[in-house]
Amino acid sequence: MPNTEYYDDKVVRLFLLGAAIWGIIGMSVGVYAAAELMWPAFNFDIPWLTFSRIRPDHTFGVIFAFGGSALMGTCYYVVQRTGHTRLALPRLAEMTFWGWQLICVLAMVTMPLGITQSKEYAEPEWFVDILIAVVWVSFGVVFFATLARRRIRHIYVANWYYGAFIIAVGLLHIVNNVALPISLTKSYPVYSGVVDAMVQWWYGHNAVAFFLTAGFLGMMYYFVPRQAQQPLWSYRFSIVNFWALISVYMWAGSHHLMYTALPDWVQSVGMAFSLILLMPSWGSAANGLLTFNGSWHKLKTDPAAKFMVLSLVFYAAATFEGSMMAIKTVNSLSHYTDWTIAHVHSGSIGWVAMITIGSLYAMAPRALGQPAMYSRKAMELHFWLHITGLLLYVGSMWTAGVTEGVMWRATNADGSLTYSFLDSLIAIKPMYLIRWLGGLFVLSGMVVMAWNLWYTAADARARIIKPIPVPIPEPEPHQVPAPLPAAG
Amino acid sequence: MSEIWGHLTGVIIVTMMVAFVCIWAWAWSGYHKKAFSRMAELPMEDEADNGQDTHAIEGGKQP
Amino acid sequence: MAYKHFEAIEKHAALLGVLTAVMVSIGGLAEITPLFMEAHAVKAPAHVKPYDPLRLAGRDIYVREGCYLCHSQMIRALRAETERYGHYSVAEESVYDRPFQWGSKRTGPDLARVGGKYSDQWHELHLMDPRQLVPQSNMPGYPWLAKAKLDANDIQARMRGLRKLGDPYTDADIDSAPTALEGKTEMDALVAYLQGLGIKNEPQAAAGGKPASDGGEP
Repeated sequence: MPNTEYYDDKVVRLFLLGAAIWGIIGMSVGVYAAAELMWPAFNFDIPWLTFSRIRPDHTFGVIFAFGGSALMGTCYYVVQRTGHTRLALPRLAEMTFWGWQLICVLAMVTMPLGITQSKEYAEPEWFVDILIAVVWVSFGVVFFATLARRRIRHIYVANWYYGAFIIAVGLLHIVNNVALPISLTKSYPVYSGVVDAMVQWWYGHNAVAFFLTAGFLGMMYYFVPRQAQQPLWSYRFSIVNFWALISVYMWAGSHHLMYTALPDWVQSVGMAFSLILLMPSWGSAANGLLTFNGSWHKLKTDPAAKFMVLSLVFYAAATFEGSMMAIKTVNSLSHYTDWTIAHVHSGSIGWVAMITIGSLYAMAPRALGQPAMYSRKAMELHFWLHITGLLLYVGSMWTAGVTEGVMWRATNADGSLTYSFLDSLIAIKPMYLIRWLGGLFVLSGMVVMAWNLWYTAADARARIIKPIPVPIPEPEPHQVPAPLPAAG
Repeated sequence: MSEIWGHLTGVIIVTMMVAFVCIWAWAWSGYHKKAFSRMAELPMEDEADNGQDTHAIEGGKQP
Repeated sequence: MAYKHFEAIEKHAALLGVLTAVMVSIGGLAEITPLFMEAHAVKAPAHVKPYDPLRLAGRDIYVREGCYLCHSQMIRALRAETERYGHYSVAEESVYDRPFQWGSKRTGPDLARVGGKYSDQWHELHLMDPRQLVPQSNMPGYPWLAKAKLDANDIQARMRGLRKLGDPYTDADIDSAPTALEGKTEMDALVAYLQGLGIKNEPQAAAGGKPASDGGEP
């Protein structure tokens, strides 16, 4: 059979560019916000530069703009490679790229202007939410249509995770954002009080589960074996882990609301399932790490593999910490403190950012028609900048969190409180300085990556990249649906 | 929480555990071994057609 | 691959999607459904009234500025918390809160019962420039609030919207709203909102009602 079909990598390259740019923007906002916590005058009394206005920009920028672009780009790459087929509906796929960028720009501009729902991690107002829903459904259509046209009999496990990520995030987003618009810039949620809290944390928790975990596990399950050049340590184990992870995660959301006005039994169920959750989490981490067994020497020569291995270590560490923090007695100390911030960032800078960076370094040369990244030394530098920043950040915030937790509950012999709230703030201020430095390290690493990608893409900018042909396994005489038409 | 709801939640949890054991048994049955090892090869095929190694190698292009 | 075979696989992709959606939904449904029923049973006690126009406008400014990112409004049933902030928060207190503003991080102190603890003037000065009152504070100043006049037209649309969602505003409440806002700045509204926290919505149950949680002592 003559081979006239090519992988559609244009949209992958666009998302790659998007991820690199949004990564820098999102993290810059984070560094600036961290500086304001240290030196509050840095808002210069300008509304849209004030901490409370730009903090949602940081979270949206890194999670949805940077993480989202990286996830969608790698998802399009992986579903084609593991199905030996071209992307179905390439026009719609490109629309999802421009749509997603439009959403990111709109959200990042409106939130600092005060157009916000003030629901954590779901701040954009109703008109952005509708756009998100539309683009998300289109993304799902492209993904599942491509899956349906695949030429490999079974569905590779990375696609299971990507599929769960798409379905669950769509569901969460729509349910959590049901609101009554009052004007273009203001809406009220249909839920109030306790119900709103429960729905919001069901969303917040499971956004972590399905956006920041399942999605990036999809990335991991493809790019780790690819980079190690060995099959997964245990393919069947990855399947068991998949079902365990997606069925357990949803139950654990209420651990965000312990000792609050939420009914007791819900808090207890949340705690129990948070502990069970440790098993599928560690299962995936172990599977990824053991895949490198026998090719550990690659760590010496390949920075991308180093990013991946460390990301899995931090994934295991952050999920362990998360389960511990869901134990009520630990939670009573850690909640409301910077310990939460430390936990979130060991998960996001450690696991999410590192698996993304590793995968981008693995995917970019291939998608850009190059044998390797432009500079290996720059990749090496990025790795050390990132690790230094990560350790400074997590170490300082962990110390700050425990300090706050202990000071807030300290009492004198007569039962009165030992410290005022201000005492705890003064005690942790040096930690805010170290955290800001850590953020600066991570950000400069991202700048190094963008520079490296820019030069890796030099060839691609100068001429048209030779498309990669799809290896078509065997002629399919009566295939239903018919194979995708050749792209010419 | 009403008592009926408690029993229902219990039933769901037990069903989930049974389903989990079944998935485990399914995944470990020898019947699928061939298909699984074929699937596990997929990530390595991306560079099979031109034999190029995409990760940076010693002596790769330097700035 | 035979026709029949391929058809089965095609279904497999859809099946995978459906099964995933089912598994994902079970956990959420099992926890949220009874809670939904329970929470809808939480009716506002007779004396807990929906926000009056000025405090509603103030609350919307609180939401707009993103105060929840540093201030919680949820006192947990722990002794160290009740000692510092007052009686633990109960479910009835937030029945009119859209969105809820319990928060998840305390870079500043909890505000659930801040009402009446400081004078109006203290709040105004503090919001203008926190460091003139608390030199060590790292809270940003919000001086623009004092200059911005409240939009009296919008408030009626907001109250009508909230009524659609079930808040018991009367026609008279809505008609008189613009007058209540006349000549007020955003600062006035925000201070009014803060001064009502923990006072206007405090249920009598907070005196000796049943705990919202087991109240484990640390």
